[in-house]
Amino acid sequence: MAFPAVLVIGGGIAGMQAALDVGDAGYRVYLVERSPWIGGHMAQLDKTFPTNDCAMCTLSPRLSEVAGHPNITLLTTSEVIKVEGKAGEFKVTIRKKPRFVDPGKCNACEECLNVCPVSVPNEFDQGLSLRKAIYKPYPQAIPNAMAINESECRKCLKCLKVCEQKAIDHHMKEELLEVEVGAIIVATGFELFDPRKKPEFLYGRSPRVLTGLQLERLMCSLGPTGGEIRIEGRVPKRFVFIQCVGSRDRTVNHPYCSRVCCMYTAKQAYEVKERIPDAQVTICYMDVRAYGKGYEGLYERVQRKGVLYRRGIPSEIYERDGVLVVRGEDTLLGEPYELEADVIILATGLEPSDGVRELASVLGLKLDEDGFFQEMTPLDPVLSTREGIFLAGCCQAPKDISDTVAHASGAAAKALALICGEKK
Amino acid sequence: MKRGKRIGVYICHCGRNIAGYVDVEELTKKVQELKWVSIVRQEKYMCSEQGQKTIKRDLREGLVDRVIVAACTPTMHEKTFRRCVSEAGLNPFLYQQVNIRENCSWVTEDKEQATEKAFKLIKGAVWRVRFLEPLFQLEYPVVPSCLIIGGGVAGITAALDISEAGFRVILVEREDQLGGWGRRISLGFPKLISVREYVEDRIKELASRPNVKIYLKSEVEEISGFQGDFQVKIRLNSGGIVKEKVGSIIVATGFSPFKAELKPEFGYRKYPQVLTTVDFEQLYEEGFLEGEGPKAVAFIQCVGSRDQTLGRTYCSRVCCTVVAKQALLLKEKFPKAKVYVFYMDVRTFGKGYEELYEEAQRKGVLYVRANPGEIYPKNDKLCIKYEDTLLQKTQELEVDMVVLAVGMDPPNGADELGRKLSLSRSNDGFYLEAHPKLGPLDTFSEGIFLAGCCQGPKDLVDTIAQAHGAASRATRIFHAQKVIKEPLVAKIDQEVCTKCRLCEQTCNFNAILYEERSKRMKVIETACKGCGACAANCPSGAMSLSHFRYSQMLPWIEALVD
Repeated sequence: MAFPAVLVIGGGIAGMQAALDVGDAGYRVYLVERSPWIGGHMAQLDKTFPTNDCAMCTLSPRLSEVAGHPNITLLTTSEVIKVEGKAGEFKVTIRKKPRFVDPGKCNACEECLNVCPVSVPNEFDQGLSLRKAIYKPYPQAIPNAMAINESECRKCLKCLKVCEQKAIDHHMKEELLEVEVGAIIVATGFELFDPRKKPEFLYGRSPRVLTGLQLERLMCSLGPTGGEIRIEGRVPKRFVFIQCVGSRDRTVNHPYCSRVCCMYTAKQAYEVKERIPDAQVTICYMDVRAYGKGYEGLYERVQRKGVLYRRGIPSEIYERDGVLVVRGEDTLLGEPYELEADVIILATGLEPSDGVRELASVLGLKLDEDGFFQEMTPLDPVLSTREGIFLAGCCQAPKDISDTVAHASGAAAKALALICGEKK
Repeated sequence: MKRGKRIGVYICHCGRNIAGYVDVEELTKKVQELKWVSIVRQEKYMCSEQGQKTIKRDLREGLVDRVIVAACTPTMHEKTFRRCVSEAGLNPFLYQQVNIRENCSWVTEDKEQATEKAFKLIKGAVWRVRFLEPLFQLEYPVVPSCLIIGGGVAGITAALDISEAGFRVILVEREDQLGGWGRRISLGFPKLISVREYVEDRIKELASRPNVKIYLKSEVEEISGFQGDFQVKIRLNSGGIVKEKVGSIIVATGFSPFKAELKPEFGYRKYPQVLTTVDFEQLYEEGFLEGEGPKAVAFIQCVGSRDQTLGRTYCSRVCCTVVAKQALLLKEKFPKAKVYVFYMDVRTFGKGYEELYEEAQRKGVLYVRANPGEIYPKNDKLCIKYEDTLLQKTQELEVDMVVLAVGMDPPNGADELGRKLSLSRSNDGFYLEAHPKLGPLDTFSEGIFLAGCCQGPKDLVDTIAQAHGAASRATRIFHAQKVIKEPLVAKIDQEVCTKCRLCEQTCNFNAILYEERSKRMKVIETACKGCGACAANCPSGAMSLSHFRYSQMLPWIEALVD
């Protein structure tokens, strides 16, 4: 008799989908997320391709659905540290790190933000803004409660004094929890490639070189500029996008295609032209991989909007009289080009998330050459190398949101079949 | 009808989200003066534990009998507050949420105007809630069986998952065997393993399952009913009809390869040396081209894809990687042969696909970025005329064999089946999913789900992932053993109804019918989606939509425009 519960590791869009499918079927779900909030990368996006719908408007009802689901036990600031047993009968140990704020009491009134003396770069805005040591990344975040970053907090206890709800406790301790589950779904997502590994693109050295995700934050109405694209206080006019930064590139050990960058770049270029109609927008590319449903249509709309596609990934970016210049070879015209740019956006690829090696060893799973989770058979992307553990979303390989959602429902189907199949 | 007389209005500050733009003190004062309002309270966060406690206390003490919360959008917290009031004994449909955040504070800069607008919105709700009536959730039982239409890889995968979970599967396939296109593929990509073996193993497994009923050479004739209780008529090869009852349906009808004859300039079926990628799979499996083999072969990509002239503007998603695989297989078999690939963009996006493309290039496959214009015979060879878009020159190439990478069309009969199931289709002719991002497997018809290429072209790996997913979506209600439905459905006042049957014609969901026995119009509540089209069209005013009756809507509108 299998334990009638499922462990889902990772609270991004994949983990939430899997948790909801299992929860709706009437089984207990433990949704473990290592950060203090669920939502994952989708929460950072301004719009989603190919329809250019508002990402948060799509995501936030789903966040509330997970939060209010009677069968989903949400475990944030938590990590899986031990798994014993076998398919159908896993005993899992979870380390729940202290949040220092009781999410049951905190109503996110944000009074504490006014008194916290610490300011650090805000990772949610990709370093484009500052946040406090006690914080919540965005208004719709779930749980709707603040959290304190232990390593940043100076223990001045000012927040404690202004908290009417008495929700803050600097003495919270780490807890160990044990749960019994029949199946495990891994949905740990991805990390973005660090473009500093391609020093020729000047990322980190020029404030006018951004990643795609940074531009996403600049375009988002909840972002650091309230949705205005401004660099160093000015609205840029000349935009150059560079695709395949950290994808299809053996020099940085990423031979694979990251599957989403072509389309997120197309979407961003479209949005730039919407907001700054006289902007000159160039996209430097190798192949435009507009493969999904409706993607080719977006690619066409972007071109009709006046965005110029130039075939050939630039070799370098340099500064000439204070102006950034992108240098490359146009492989269609067979000649070198130089483009002056006010802002350059690097379409960084996807790589396995931090800590995936440790998790693989805790779970007894194999990783592939690129560090993503390996499948039992190459034809079935849902089955991991261990019975009773299933893969969902980008932890298996890069994929876009719709493919992630389908994949995650797939993992839920296998988990459900395992935990209830035996009883019938 | 007992009208609400004691209305409680609860105004949320939402931190500064509302209070920063709306003068809540002023608003409270004005609302207090409204007729029928007995209590107005404000809270920094109405959704917090404390806010909810306040509402519950007022209800329990009998201070209010209708509740209005003026806060964020109902998609955020309507459920929260409905739960809150029902925990205190109030019917959840006597509650109304007013959105003074997204609809007001976030979009109005002037504080005075924002406050005035918030007041109007609340006043509208006050006028309406008096006339709300208690409603009760509809619950009905579920037939724990799933109909799967299409016995290809998608259908088989979903069928195995559902049967493994212990539910019954009815699998309908129009061909004489299961497997679909999976049977016609020699080796898969990116790992060159036998797809046929994989598919045959799955079919064997399926055949051994006692809870799976397979109908071969059969088609779905008619479907009626609704989520949880569909009635299906299946036309058998013999011409006979069998009836089945199912709770959900998965459509897995696959695709049809593009007919290469529609591009006559490529000479398919005119010159025997012109093949399609589909033909190639079959010939490879049969061990074709023994002996010396061809000296030069050209693959042409995007035949029937990304092609405006044929009305097929979409990318077929698999052809680039299929060609990389086939070119590689050819090169491995005949290392001396020259193998060319004519392409627009190489879209090898999946796990391991880029590596396969690299491997093909390493083995000597030559990729030429070009638009081939035509193919014609020349001294017992074929000559391809093309424009090299990299060199910007018109060129010619002589080869012994041409392989056309044909794209995917919606399957034959997609139109007819779509009508039977009331499925919408996207511009490209494939079935339309409920949401492009978060609902890729669901449809707008509740209880009907999509798996595989009938939703859009996709490779085997993505098809299998999606098919597992469809199995999960289609069995959620089986596990729960019931369908729960909001009671927002159409109601008929039989005394007023003239039986003109206009509502029956208006309804897109076959939820209204004329019952011969009673000689009355009848709403099938389980099928009704609560769209209200019937109520709007009813000439006599007999039809209404629960919770949105004229008597509830008109006061609301009047107060708003007052």
